Amino acid sequence: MKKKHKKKQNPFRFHYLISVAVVIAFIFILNPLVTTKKIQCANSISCKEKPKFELETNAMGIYNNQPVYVPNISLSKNEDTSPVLGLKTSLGEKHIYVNLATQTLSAYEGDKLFMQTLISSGLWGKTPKGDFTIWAKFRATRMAGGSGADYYDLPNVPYVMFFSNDEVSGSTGFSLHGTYWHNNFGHAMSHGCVNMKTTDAAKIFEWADAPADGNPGTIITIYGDQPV
Amino acid sequence: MLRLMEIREQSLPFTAISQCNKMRNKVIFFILLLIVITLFFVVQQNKKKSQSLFTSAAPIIIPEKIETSNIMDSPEGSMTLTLDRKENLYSLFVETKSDEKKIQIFKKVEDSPNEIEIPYNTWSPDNIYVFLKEKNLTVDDYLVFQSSGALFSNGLSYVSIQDLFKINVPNYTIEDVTGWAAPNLLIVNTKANESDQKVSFWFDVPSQSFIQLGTYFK
Repeated sequence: MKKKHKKKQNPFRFHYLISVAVVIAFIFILNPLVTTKKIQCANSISCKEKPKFELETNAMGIYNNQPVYVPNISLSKNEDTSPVLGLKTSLGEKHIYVNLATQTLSAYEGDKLFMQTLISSGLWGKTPKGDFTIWAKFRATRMAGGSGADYYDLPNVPYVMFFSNDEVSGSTGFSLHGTYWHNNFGHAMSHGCVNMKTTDAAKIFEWADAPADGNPGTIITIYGDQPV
Repeated sequence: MLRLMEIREQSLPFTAISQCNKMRNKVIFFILLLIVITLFFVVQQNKKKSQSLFTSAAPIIIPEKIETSNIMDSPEGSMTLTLDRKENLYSLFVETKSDEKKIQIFKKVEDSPNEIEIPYNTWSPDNIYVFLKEKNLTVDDYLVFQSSGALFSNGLSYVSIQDLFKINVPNYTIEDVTGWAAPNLLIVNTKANESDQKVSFWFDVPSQSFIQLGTYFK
């Protein structure tokens, strides 16, 4: 009788242990999915090494896995390749708004509109929403990312302004920048960055500030929902 | 059968029944625990989402009319496309800023109320081509030009996307031509004639052919 009794007790303990194991396993599986922020890398180069000013001559790029002619950039005399401060103004705080719903960018100095233009936000990768500040400015740099049919490797990306906040670090590579490989502004077309016509990117690059002397860079607010 | 089960139940020792109940309670307990933990994480996730959502006051910005114009610089600013209108006569000029050379590449008299516009994305990324929108009462047309003013193989200074599309892709109707996906590829958004299906095509200018795409460019 004693032996029989023991045999009946064992399965219960076994079930108990299984249940505990399932709960623990569930927590371990669920926890990383919930706690880690899945911010994809918009520019695989900046995710591997610190972004820097980079210029190439007579280079070829790749966009959507197709070769792209890369325009050479000739720097003007004494041009700062990684400038910090933009144009000095006394009109008020500089603020850039990017509306994903209308695919427009509006830059304000206080209440005064500095410029408004069409942009292209993320099609193959999401453009993050929220309040950001400019993290670093480079006159030109190389960007790469995507995979398969949407692979890209683009030297001489002009007028790049990386932005960041507490959740999206600067090294993830999200930026406002000029574009020489497409001209389809007003429509989503990027891997997460905010693409601009090069002349527009130049104008805002010269105007906006990177962080300096304890002051954060120009605020960038990205909001709205892209048309589905 | 029922009677047999009753007999069996009656024959089960009391300790076994209580053990079974305990086991059932434990399983229920762990299922509840699992639900509570799951809910905890879901609530936490929602909190994070709502915190990360844009919180500062976004202005209601109504974009000015920037989609079309009668003058448009090339993307890097070295060339300018100008559309002059004198009554119903439209003239299209390309100017190279470095040498201030201005050439006329097209002129046309439009019957009222038809109009011609320069779209915002008129220039191909390499400045080789430009396209115009011809607004008609029935159906809009899109005309592609070489910015050098050179003629296409059809002997004309332009290619009509609408004409070519009707011949080559009769099952779809053009809704919009938005801009350039690459130096020689225009994005043509269309709708199926027999359904609500929306499909994007690339119009390859050198070969004057259409390529159907899997991605719809909104």
